[in-house]
Amino acid sequence: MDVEILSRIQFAFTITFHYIYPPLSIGLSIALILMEALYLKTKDPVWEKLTKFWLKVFSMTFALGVATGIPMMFSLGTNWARYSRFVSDVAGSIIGAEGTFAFLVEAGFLGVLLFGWNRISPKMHLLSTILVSFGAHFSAVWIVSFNSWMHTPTGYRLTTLSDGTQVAQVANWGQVFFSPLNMSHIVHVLLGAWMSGAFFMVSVGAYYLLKKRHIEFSKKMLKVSLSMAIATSFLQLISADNLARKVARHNPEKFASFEGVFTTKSHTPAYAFGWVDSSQEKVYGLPIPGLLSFLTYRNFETPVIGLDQLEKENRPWVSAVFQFYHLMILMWVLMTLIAIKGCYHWWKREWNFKPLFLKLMIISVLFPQLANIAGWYSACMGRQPWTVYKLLKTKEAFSPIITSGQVMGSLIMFVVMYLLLFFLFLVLVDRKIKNGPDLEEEELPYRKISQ
Amino acid sequence: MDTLWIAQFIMYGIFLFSLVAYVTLDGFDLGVGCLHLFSKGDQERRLMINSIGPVWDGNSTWIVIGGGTLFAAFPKAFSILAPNLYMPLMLILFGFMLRAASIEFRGKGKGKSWKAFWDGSFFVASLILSCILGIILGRLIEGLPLNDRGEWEGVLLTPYSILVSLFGISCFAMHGSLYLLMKTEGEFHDKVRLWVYRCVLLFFLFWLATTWATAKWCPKMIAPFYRYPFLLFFPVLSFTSIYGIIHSVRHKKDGRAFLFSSLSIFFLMLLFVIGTFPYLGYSTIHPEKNSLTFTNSSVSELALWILVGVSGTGIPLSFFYFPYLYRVFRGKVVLNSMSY
Repeated sequence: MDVEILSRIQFAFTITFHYIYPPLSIGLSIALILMEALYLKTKDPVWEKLTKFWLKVFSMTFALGVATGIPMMFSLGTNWARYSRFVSDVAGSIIGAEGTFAFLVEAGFLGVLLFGWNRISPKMHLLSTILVSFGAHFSAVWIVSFNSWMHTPTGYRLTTLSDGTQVAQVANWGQVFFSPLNMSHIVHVLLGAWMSGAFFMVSVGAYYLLKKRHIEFSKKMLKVSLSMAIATSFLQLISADNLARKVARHNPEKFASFEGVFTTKSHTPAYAFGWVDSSQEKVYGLPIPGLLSFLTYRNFETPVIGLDQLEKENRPWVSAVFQFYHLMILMWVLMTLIAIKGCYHWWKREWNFKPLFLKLMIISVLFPQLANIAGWYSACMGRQPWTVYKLLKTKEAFSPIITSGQVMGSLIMFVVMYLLLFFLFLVLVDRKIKNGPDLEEEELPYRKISQ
Repeated sequence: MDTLWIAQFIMYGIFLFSLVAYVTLDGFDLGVGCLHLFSKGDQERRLMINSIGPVWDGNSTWIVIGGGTLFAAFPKAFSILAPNLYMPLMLILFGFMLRAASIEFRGKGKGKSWKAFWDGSFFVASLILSCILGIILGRLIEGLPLNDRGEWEGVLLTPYSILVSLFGISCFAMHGSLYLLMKTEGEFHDKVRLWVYRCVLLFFLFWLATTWATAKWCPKMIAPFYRYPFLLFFPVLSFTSIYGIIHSVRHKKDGRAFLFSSLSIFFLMLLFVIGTFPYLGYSTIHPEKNSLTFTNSSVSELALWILVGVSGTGIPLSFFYFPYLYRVFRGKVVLNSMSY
C-alpha cells in the first residue's frame, strides 16, 4: 500500500476513535452544569452524588479526548504536509483560536473542576464547570469551522508562492468563518454531541432501574438525560433539514450520493433503506416517491440534481456514502422513539418500565455514537475525491517525503494504543457504573479546608 | 522595517513564547515522571502523581499551542519539519497518550500489578518525551541536513543531540524534584531533598558539558555574542540563575529554588533563541537557500495580522487564569477521594 492510502487509513482510524470522547465530554458537561446548579439551588444530596459520579466519568472522557486529539493536530504536518501548506493561510487563525480560546481554557480549568472541590467556593466551582464546558464547545466550534471551509471554500484567493507552491490565501476572514455550511454544521455537530451525553446517562439510569439499585439516584439521572434527549432529538430534526438543504445547494455530488440519485428526474425519491449498485447506477430498496424533492424544494415535482449532471470522474464512493447516511438517520429514529417513550412514562409517573424497554435504553448509548460517526463519514466521504472541495484533491494533499514503512509503523502504534485506550475506557466505565455512586466518598465536597 | 516583517516577528515571538512556556511548565511534570520509579510504595507514588494532577493537562496544552502556531504562521517550516521528523514526532505522540493514560488509569484499579504497570508506563512515557524533545532541540541547534527538495539527507541521532537530550532529561528531573520539594512534607519531603541534591549536581555537570560542546561544535551559536557583545548579558543571567538554584537549595528555600530553576530554563531557552535567530530550521547543506527562517516560511500579511489578533488576545488572557489555577492548588498535596 502506498503512503496516500496508509495515511488515509491512519487519519480515518485515529479520528474515528478520537471522536468517541469529545462528544461525550461536550454532552456530559451540559448535564454536569444542570446537575451542579440544581444541587446549589436545592441542596439535595442526590444531585451532589450525581454530579460527582458523572464528574469521574467526565474526567476519563476528557483525558482520553485530549490524549487522542493531540495526534490529530500533528498529523496535519507529518502526514498531510501539502494540505497544511495549502490551507494554513486561510485556516491557521481558526486553529490558533481553537488553541488559545478553547483548548487552553478547558485544559486549564479541568484541574479545578476535578480537584478543586475543597479549595474554592461552590459558586467558583460551578463557574469552572461552565468554563470547561464553554471551552469544550468552542473547541468544537473552531474545528467544525475549519472542516466546513473545506466543504465550501469561500473568502480566499489562490496564489502561487515564489517557490512554486500553490496555496489558498485569506482574502476575507468573515467569509472564511461564515462559510455557507458552517453555522448549520456547528449546530448539527453540537446537538449530536449533546445526544451522546444524554443517551450515555439514559443508558446508565436504565441499567440501575433494571438492577433495582439506586432508584432515587437513577430517576433523577433519567429526568435530566431524558429532557436533554427529547429536546435534542427534535432540534436535530430541524437542524438536519436546514443542513441538508444547504448541502443540496453547495455540494450537489454529496447530496446526490446520500440518496443514490444517479439520474435527474422529477419526483425524486428518498429511500427508507436500500442497496446501491454503482456499476449499474441503480438503487434497490424502498423508495418514497417525491420525498427528496419535497425535503429539498418543498414541492414534490422539482427534480434533485443527479450524478448524471455532475463530473463523472469526481464522483464519491456512492454506495458507502448512501449507507452511512441512512445509518445515521436510522439511529436518529431509534433515539427519538426512545426519548418519546421515556418522557411519556415520566409524564405518567410510571417508573416501572418493562425490562425489554430498559434493555433497549441500555444499548441506546451506542446510537448517538454510531450516528455521529456515520454522519461524519457520509459528509467527508461525500466530499471525496476532494480534500478541499474543488481546490485540492486528496491524492495531492499527503506528505510525499515520508515512506510507507514509516506510516505503517505509526499506524500499528496508533491501532494498538487507541484500541487499548478504548478497551480500558470501557472496563473502567463499566466498573464505575457497577460500583455505583456510593463508594469511598467519605467527605462532602464544598467543605473548605484551611490552607 | 515594513509591517509584514513586524507581523512575522510578533508571530515568531508568540511561537517561541509557547515553546518556552511548554518547556518551563510541562518540564516539571515530565521531570516528576522521570523520577517516578525512584519513589517507593503506593502512598509516595500517589503523592507524586497528584502533585501534578491538577496542572499537567493545562501544561501540556502549550505544545499544541506551539505546534498550532507553527502550522498557522509558518506553514512552510511546519510542512517541511514535521514529515522529516516523522518517527520522533510519532514517539512523542505515543509518549503523550501513554502518559495521559497512566495518570488517568493508575488510580482506577486496586491490583498491585495494575498499579505497577501504570507506574512503569508513566515513567517510560515521561522519559521518552523528555528524551525526544532534547534530541529535536539538539538537532535544531546543530542544523538540519535539508536538501533543495526539503528532504532530510542524513541520520537523526548525532553525539551532540544525544548530549542535549541527556542535559534536557537532567534539567527536567531537577525542575521536577524542586517542584516536588514544594509540594511534599514529612518523611517523603526529606527523601525528595536527597533527589534534589543529586539532580542539581547532574544538571550542573551536563550543563558544563553541553556548554563546552556547543562552543566547540556549533560556532554558529556563539557568533551572535561576538557581533553584539551586549548579548553576553544573557549568559551571565543564565549562569546567575543556575547559581541561584544551588544557593537556594543549600539554604533550604524551596520556593525560591523552583523559581530559579524556572528562570534557568527560561534563560537557557533564550540562549537557544539568540543562537538560532532567525532560523526555524537551519540547513547545513545549503544555509542560504534551504534554511527555514521566520521570514521565508510565513503566511501572507493579512493572515499574520489576523493571527496576531487571535493569539495576541488568547495568550495574554491565560496570564490571568493560569496564575489563578496555580494559586488554587498552592501548598502541599493532600490526598482525598477525588485524587488519582
